[in-house]
Amino acid sequence: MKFRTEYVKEMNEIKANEELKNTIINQAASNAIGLPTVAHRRRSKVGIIIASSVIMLILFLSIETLWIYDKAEK
Amino acid sequence: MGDDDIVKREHFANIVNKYADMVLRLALTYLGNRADAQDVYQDVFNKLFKYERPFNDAEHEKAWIIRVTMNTCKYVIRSPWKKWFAVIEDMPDRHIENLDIVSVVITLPRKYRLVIHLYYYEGYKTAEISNIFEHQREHCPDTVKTSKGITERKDVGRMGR
Repeated sequence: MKFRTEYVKEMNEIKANEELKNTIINQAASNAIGLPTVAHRRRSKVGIIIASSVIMLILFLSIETLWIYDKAEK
Repeated sequence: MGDDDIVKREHFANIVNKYADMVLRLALTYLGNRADAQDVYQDVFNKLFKYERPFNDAEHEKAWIIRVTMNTCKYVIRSPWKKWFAVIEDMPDRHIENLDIVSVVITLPRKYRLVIHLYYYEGYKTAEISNIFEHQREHCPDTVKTSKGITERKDVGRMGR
């Protein structure tokens, strides 16, 4: 019984964000369901970071290879 | 926007206001992190908005929302993104860490978490939980029994602290 009382008390502290509620309702109103969710936005950020890191790495390796060839030729 | 759209929007807003907390709590219990729980919460209501068939009654509607929440949570857990980037995303949630019992419940195996939540928080009986978990109907009473056992042990452990 004590478990139930405390669990309910703690769970009652967890409430949905009013802003997110309104976003969902407004999305429905404008038929814009399918807009990026919070997850999509977060994942795109991580995706952009990973993609830019890969590009930087490729650039670095290319420049270094060119530099090594250049040095070897000399 | 026509009259039908306005009525539909108002009905949808009422449902969102009525079940928002329930969906968030279920998702948070299952996933153990607020960011994913909010994504599930958004997905569930998107699915509800697109769902065309009428519900028989309020209980049917609630059970549908619970099942969709559960399935969406399972989808999040199974997604390759979650498997590869779990370390980045599973940052400890400070809000949950402050809640003693909830933080213990989210460390339990996933199959017990929702049962515990539905039994202790939503007040469902074992048979009703079995109906919600349709495909695991035969195993459900055992899961509820084990969940109750776990909570009793956790409760005893906590009181002993």
